[in-house]
Amino acid sequence: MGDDQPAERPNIPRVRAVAPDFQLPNASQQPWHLDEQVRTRPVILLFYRGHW
Amino acid sequence: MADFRDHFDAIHAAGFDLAAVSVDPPRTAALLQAELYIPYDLLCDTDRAVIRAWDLLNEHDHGGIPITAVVAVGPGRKVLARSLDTMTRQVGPQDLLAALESADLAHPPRRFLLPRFFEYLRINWRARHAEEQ
Repeated sequence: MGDDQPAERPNIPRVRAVAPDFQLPNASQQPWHLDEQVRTRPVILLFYRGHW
Repeated sequence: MADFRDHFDAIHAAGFDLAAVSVDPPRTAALLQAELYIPYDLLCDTDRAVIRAWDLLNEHDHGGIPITAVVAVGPGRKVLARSLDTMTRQVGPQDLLAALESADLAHPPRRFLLPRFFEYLRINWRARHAEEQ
């Protein structure tokens, strides 16, 4: 897992940077807020292509 | 997705939460969650605001979907580790393990919990490779 920053994507949060906050609904349409989540424990976020 | 699902208990026991982001609507995400027995939250960025803000939007694929990536976020939303997948390289729990080992372990609970997590993944990785040989 490197921290190479693709030239065409300069705004991907880097290691040690502060990630942009967000709130999204989960599959049950309940709100999930990043800033609140990481107050209790670190979170591993997987960005995936979605259901095919 | 499945690799992290299979390691979910160990990851969660080690003090981490897991969540996955796509542009799927909640109904589609719920179907996927049921089909694959995903135990963690599937988050629905249907308007693509998050993947755009995080610069992870691939506008040329299926009308705009995320490039696949794994990002570990700690207190204060500090990025602890990050990997952007390529055609030939996809990060798994073992890769994340290596990255987190070298990260700043400033958060006290992680100092306590990470070694157990690492040890679990090491044992699991060795067992899998032993089976393959």
